Amino acid sequence: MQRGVLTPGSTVKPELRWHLAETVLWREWDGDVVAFAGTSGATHHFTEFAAWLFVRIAAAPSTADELRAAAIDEVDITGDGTLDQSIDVTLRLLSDLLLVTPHATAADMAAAVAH
Amino acid sequence: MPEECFHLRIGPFHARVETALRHLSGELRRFYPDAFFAERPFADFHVRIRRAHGLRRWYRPQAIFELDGETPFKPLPFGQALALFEWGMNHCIAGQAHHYLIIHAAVIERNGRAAILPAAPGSGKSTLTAALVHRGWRLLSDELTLVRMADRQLVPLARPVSLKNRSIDVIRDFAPGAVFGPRIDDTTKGTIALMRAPQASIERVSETALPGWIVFPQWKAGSPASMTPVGKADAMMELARNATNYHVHGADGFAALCETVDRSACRRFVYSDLQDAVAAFAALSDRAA
Repeated sequence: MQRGVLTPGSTVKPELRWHLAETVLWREWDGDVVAFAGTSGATHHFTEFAAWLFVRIAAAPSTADELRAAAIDEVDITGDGTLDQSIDVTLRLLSDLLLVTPHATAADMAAAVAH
Repeated sequence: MPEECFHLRIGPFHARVETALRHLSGELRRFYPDAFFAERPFADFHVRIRRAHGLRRWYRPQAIFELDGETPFKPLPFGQALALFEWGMNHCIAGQAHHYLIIHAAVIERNGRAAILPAAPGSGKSTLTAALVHRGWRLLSDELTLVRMADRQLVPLARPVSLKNRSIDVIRDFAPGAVFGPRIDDTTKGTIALMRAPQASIERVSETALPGWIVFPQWKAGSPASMTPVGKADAMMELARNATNYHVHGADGFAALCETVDRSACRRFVYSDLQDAVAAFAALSDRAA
């Protein structure tokens, strides 16, 4: 299993499957999420789209494409470039905060190549 | 003048106090009337309040707070020795009692449920607390909320409430039976006076409580009493900001605060009149009963 690396300016690689980092604790209240990053010791508060995306990843590790499809389906967002940008920015934010980490499985890489 | 040595029980803590300042030991007997006990082999804090040496012994004399032989603060004018002791005890507890999660907040209790009142300086927290504990609420603490990590119970201290400037006379008028110490002028916070915890609060200092509310108070001139809901995530973040040793507890601290928020209805409270504030808190408590 290959561990993905985010580089500044690059879009999120489609083969990366995002999951909660180890030592993350979190709680959701009324759609808002409060998360504790064990690595940094910091506590963060997310609302709206970032909260939705965090909860989605917490429920099941997901690729950006899977998050995109779920957003269109669950949140009734149109699948335009703005959505991709939002997913990209949010994943990078959560990664920078040490709350989520990406892995690339062989199956995901194969699927990315097929597309 | 020979030093006096006595042992004080302050909530769950034992402080061994040495001082030659007779006026201080007298005031401590007034504010901690049931807390003096015979010498014990172990104390949580070893505290000494002494006169400064040298010229400051006579010229504008100063008092010095020592903890375990160290001097954590600058000296203060001799007349502020009582305030120095109280601030010193805050330092002792906040700096060492890490078997508690410590939140900078008042905490009061009525009908078995506690209200935690986190607030910034100048918000009117202490004035509100002083009023409420003379109208049916029990004082657990005016300054430091102690969440016992083992079982998330809130542990009382029943220490004096520190009032500043105009609020001293406001509470004297509101609660004529309240016991006050002398006014202490020219402190960094202006004029302060300590108000003893009500006797009923002192007698129940061993009774813990579980939280029922988190209320963020704010005094605002001319404002009618207004209690509005606060989202639990917002309340959680504010509690974390007010938790002085949150960084010590890490994940356990996060879990403890989450449980505290889970148990609590969260409100923001704006007020200007104490009678209205008392009524609002009574309604809050009565609805939950």
